[in-house]
Amino acid sequence: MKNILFITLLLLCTFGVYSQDANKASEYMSIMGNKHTEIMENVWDYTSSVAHGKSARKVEKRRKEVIKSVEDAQKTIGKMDPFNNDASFRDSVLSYLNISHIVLTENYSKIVDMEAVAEQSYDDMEAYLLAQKLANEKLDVAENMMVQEQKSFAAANNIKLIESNDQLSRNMKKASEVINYYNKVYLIFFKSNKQEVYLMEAMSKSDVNAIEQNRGVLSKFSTEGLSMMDTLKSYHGDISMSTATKQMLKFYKEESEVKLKTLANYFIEKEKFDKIKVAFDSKSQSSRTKSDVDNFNNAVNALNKASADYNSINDALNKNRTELINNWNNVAQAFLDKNIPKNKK
Amino acid sequence: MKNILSLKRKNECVMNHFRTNKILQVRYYNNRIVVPLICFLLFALSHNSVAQSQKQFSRQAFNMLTLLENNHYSEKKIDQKLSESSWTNFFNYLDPYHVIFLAKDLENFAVYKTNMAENAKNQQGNFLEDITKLYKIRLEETDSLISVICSKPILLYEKDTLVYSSDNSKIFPVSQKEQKRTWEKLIKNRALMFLNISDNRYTKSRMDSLLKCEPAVREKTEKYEKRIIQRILNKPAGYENYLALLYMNSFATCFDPHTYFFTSNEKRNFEDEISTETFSFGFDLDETPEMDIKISRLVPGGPAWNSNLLKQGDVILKLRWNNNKSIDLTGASLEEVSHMLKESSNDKLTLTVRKANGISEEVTLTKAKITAEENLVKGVILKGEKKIGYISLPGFYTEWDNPNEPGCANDVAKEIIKLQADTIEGLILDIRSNGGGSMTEALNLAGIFIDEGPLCLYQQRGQKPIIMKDMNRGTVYNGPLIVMVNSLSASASELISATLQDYHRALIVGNPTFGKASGQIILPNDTSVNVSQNRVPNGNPESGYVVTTTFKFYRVTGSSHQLSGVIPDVSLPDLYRANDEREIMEKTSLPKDSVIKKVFYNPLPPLPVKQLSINSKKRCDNNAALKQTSSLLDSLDFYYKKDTIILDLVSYINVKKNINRILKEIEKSDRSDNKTFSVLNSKQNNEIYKLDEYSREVNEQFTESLKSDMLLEETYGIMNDLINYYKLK
Repeated sequence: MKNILFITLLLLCTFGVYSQDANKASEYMSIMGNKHTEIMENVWDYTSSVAHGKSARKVEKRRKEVIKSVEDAQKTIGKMDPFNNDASFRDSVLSYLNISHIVLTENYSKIVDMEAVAEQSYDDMEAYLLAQKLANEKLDVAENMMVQEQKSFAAANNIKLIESNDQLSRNMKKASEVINYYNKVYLIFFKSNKQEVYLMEAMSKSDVNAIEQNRGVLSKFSTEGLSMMDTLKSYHGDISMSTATKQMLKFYKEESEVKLKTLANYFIEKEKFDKIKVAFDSKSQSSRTKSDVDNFNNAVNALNKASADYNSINDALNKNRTELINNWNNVAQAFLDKNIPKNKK
Repeated sequence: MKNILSLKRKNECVMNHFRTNKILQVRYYNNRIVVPLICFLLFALSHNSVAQSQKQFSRQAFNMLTLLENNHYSEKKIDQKLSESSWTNFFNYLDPYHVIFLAKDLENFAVYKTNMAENAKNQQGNFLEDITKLYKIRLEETDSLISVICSKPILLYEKDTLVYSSDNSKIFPVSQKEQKRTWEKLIKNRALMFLNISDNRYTKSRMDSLLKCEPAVREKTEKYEKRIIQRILNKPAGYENYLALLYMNSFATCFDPHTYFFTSNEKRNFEDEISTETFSFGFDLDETPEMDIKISRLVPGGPAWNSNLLKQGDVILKLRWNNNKSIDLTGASLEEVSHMLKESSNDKLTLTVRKANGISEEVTLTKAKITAEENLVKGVILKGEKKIGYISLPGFYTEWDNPNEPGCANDVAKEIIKLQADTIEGLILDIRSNGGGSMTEALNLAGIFIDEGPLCLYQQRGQKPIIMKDMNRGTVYNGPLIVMVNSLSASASELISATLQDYHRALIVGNPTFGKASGQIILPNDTSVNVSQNRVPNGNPESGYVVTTTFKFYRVTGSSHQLSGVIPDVSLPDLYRANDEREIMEKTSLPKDSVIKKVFYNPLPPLPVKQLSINSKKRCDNNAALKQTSSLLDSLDFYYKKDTIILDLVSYINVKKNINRILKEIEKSDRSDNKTFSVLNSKQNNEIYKLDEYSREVNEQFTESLKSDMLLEETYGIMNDLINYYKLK
């Protein structure tokens, strides 16, 4: 399963510069623009490698290149002097790069109160997602500030900012749109998927309390997910992700509300049998009445039936789940492959 | 980190037998939270009954005081104040009624009063060694004194009074003469208690025939009192070890009432109390009309059952631990024998029993692990105007040898599912007299009823409070819920009551709870223990263990129920009368405080507490049986709480007859079934009872007790109101 949440950060805003006369201000700005282009190229390489099914090793290599290019930019821009004693533009870019680096390296504790995050989250994954969300919000603030400073700097120095429309920018814009859609769908799917993992863990521990609680929550999440998918629908007419996700959610819903509804009965039946067996075994053969033997046999039959039901439901669920998850993965890969432009570099 | 609450075992007192037991006195649990940070060495420890050397005791005391100084929540110092409290504690443990030692003994030992703890910390002085010798001498002297007193007739008619104080404030006798006088009174009191006083009017001839029993009663009294002395001198784990244990605990309990030392075998007993399985000989006891102690039930598959040598109805005459001296049980009460069996951590017991054919036989049993039926969750349906589920949870048990295995919360969930199959309209969770257990289980249990969110705050020594949550999102039961509590609902019981109350998820019904909001961990008695740095060494079983209070817990609101207890939403008459046992009565209880922490939780809309209380009060006021029982208990308190007992036969008969009358009336009202509901078993449980006679009998007793439970009857009425409220909403 492709559970990578794409990097959605980094400057979609442009540093494209047009100046009436090439002056120091535009040179100053161009240094930052060039560094930005380097980063963007690396981000694109990374995005493309994820989207088009490159090996995990290659994807990781690209990710490290992105981080390195951000670090280079931090170094270079950090050494730049303020422009006419005004460091506000440079500092806003640096601040943005710093937060970008933190988000890329997932070092959230530097900008997010992780204790509060942990306390507000149910599990590690939820805490991770919440920390990521909060970090991205900080990144948005830094980005807005930087864009604002960029505009002020340009205005003050008679520089006209133009929207860059080269191939890289176009690719990034398109990829960003696709990734945005993918991430929304993935999170809806992931919520139920993770919940099912908890249900499975509870089943493996024969913990009826946890089974019943997690089963109820899976039903809730899958129902909510289906209703959210109704609002997301297709991506420019491509319904493949939506269809695969709905199939998965319908499976979770049926699993929690129908197939495993009586799962707890198996464990109750088993507990009953264990108690009856101890009582039965503690009676000597000669002291057992016909009624004792009948009651014992009834308990054996009831447990056998419950076991057979449990096994057959489980087998069917396992088979169905495997097929649907494989399908979801294939569809997701095909969706990214189809909609994210290929790296022509 | 796994959190475990656990049961308290009080330090045994020597002379705890002077009062008649109250009929409604419920088993006393005084519990604490335990967080096992360490790998448990459960059930693998061999028992060491060989007396240890004074040097070893001294080392143990040093270890424990260092451990407590470094890790106990209260951050107490080992100083003069602690020495003085420990010194007083120790003498009170050895001689709670001040009848063994003489005043001059205390004067001789006063030199240790200001430095007892500091000396122990520095491994100096011979206090324990000296007092061990002296105490033995005094016990032997007392034993002889009892023989002397009992060699002459007890003057039952002679007017006399016995005054004693329950707070150990009575001064020690200054002379042997004074001591003898006190013992004469004690023996007379015991003899009067052993007299078989009926409800008949006492004419002169009846009085004469009563007096004719004096020699037999005197003999029984002598055996009884001497047995108490001999039980101390012949402790299964050894006399010296027993005194060392009291010595250690005289320090430990200065830190707070829930901190104490125990040996590895006692640790196992302790853990058994909150497990579904326990090491036991596998038989239950009862009293015959002739006041003999008989075997009432054999647990199927248990050691007694498997021996094929014991039968239901066999009378127990003597018992012997390992190769110790036999204890003659002539005249022993059921309570006394139960206590003897419970206090010993020895695995081997030899019983001398009288069979139905009159022949005496010796049977040796070895403890084995068996299901503790009395600890388990039980669920039934109360069928009246509505079908209400009822679940009784006696303790928050867990699997000590595998704490990750599902515990009592899982069993409660299963009972709920069984009850839901019978379409119940409401659920009553009864945690009256539930003294606590596993904290994890308490949190899991709250999770059955609360979807998600913080359940309580947990604060370790010197740390910031952290939020504790349920391990699972979601619920198992969403319908109307009532939790029944009383003054013996402690620790984990209070945690869950407070949480469900703060979330408005359940209506809490009963009396204010015990008032313990602290938690303990079982630590090996080792100086290198450092809980705050998570450094807990593997323990050497011979060094023992220290149950240590290392944290407090708070409600999600930041407030605490320490001392005050959880105050129920709807109050019911107090039929337990155990307020004396509450946390607030202990001298070294931790103070009540609160913490400030931003906690996000979403309570449900408030319940109509005021209206439900008004309705309940009206019903209680109109419930003649409930009112009568309350007033009878007041009358009993009048007799039981007196510090002066009049010791002449005529006065005693009057008092005894009054008490008997009250007890009979209470028993009568206690036995009358309510007319509000009948008690039904779930289909699944019924199938078990068809084959499992033992479970069936236990269940029959349980359902019988529910039918006559007046407080449950009233709670059923409250539940009716609550369901109607939800329907109208």
